[in-house]
Amino acid sequence: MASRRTKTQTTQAPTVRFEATLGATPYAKAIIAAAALDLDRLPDSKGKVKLLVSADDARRLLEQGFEVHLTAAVPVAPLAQNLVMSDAQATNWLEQQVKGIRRKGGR
Amino acid sequence: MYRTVRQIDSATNLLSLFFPNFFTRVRLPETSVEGRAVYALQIRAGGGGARRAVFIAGGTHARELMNPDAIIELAIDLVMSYSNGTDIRYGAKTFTADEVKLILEAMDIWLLPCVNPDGRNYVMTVDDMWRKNRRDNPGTSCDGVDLNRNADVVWGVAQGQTSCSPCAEVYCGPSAFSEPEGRNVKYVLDTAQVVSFVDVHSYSELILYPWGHAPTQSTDPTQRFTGLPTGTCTASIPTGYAEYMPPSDVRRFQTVAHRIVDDIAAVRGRHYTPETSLTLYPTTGTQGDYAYARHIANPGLQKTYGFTFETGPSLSDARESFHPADPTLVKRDAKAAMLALLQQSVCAIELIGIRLFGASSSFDALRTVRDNLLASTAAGREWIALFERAQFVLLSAVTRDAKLLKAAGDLLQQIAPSVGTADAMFAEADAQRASALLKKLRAKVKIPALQRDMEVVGQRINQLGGRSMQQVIESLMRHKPSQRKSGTVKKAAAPAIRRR
Repeated sequence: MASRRTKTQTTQAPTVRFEATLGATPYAKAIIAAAALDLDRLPDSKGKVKLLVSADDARRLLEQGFEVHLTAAVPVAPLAQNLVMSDAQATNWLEQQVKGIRRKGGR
Repeated sequence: MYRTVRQIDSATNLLSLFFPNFFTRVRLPETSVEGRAVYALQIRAGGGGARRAVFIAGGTHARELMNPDAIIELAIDLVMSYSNGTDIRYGAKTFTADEVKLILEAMDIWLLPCVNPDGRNYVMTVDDMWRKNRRDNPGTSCDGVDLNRNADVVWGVAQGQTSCSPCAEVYCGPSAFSEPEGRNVKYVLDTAQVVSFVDVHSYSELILYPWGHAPTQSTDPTQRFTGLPTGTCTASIPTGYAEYMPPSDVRRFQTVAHRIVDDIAAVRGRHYTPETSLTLYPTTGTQGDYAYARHIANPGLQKTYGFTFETGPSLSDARESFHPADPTLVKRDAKAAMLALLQQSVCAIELIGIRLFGASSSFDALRTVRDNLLASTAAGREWIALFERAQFVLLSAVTRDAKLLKAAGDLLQQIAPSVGTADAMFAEADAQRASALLKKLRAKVKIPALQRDMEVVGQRINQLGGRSMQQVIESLMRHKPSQRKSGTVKKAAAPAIRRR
């Protein structure tokens, strides 16, 4: 099966995506559409069809007659740096955990 | 906070350097698409040769950041418990030091904390919602293959959450195991005697087991995935098709999944749901299904029970669900789940065999009776459940006492080889020895429910001494532990020669 998106459609990488849910659509129809359009489906605790979509994806869904609720903007960005351990933190944490356990070399 | 790929590699390196008797760091044969080395950590304590193994993999999907960290932290929890003789406590759930010791001395544990290092690095440096590996897909500007759709099981059947489109987040790749990261998972499955495998994902609080491509059924063994048209990206699963799984395996998956769920709930009350992968959504080429499918596609291979965990709750914000600002509590649940799987993979009888005789092959007859006979009836399954419920506590008690261990070993060695033999007897003398052993064990076990279980076993042993092994097994298959045995089974005349 060939890619459904042409190269020109994807050359411009989106800088933002959106969390979206499909409303006013039977669940079964919505999940089939999400799969057919190769959309990034996210688990949803409320049983909704939740997706991570680009603006282009949202447009395609609208063109197919779906009601699309955009619930959050998700910029394309690296993990927030305050969530990444520093090397020193990682090493100190490990040292702290295994402190007192006899290790090779007698430490 | 989350570890970088380099920090995960450093942790496995340091652990193997600090504690070489405990950890072996194994560089897997394939480097990632971007050329990163991929490392697994093998853990074992005690001596002995080849053992059954449990294989825990994480980080298959890049944005699911918690699990590689949880796997590293589990490794440290295990060595601390073993070295210090301390219990592992996750919230209100305790795994005792004795239980951890048994796990580590009974099995090999293979940890592959970060299956997809390129993807993790990309999440930390470019796009925190990236899922796939970093394959450059020729002829398209879309990168990446979904490593959890690329395994060789019903590969190339695009349905539900599996796609043959390179731009899809669930792209299955150009061929089965086209990706080096997935081939590393296959390598460990090929190399170790893996009895249980779990691929740890996030999120949704689920414990998943096969099948993902079709509903599971246990009535028509001819419906096997090996007969499905696959591999073309044009085939589909026939309407009404349901994949066969033997009832004993269905039960095993359900039992283990429920025990894992119970242990997670004991931590802080989170309620994970056990279900087949299909219940979440249809998939093909997943690593959990592949691990279990291997022995069906090639009967010469070890059977592996393959699971997928989905750790962490579904929150309103997807970013916070995939990588919460504070993942501590979810990691604790995940570690309890992994440890529960390890515990469920220990076979008590096999461990006694290893401890005393350096091998477990003489107990194969017992396993055959369990899987092929007892598991085929409701009463037999209750006996299996009783044994599995009790085995860990009893084993801990037995292994703490050298005399008890020897007595249990001698008894097992005496009885086990004859269990599957038609004319063998369960001698009165053996029944008396078993009763005496149970009595001593009962005195050591302080759990009332377990004491009641042991009383039931003791009564049944007393009733069955002097019968043929065949009659003993038939009785267990007919009469549940809770049921008084009827007097229909009569003592058989002992054959002239007892077969051992």
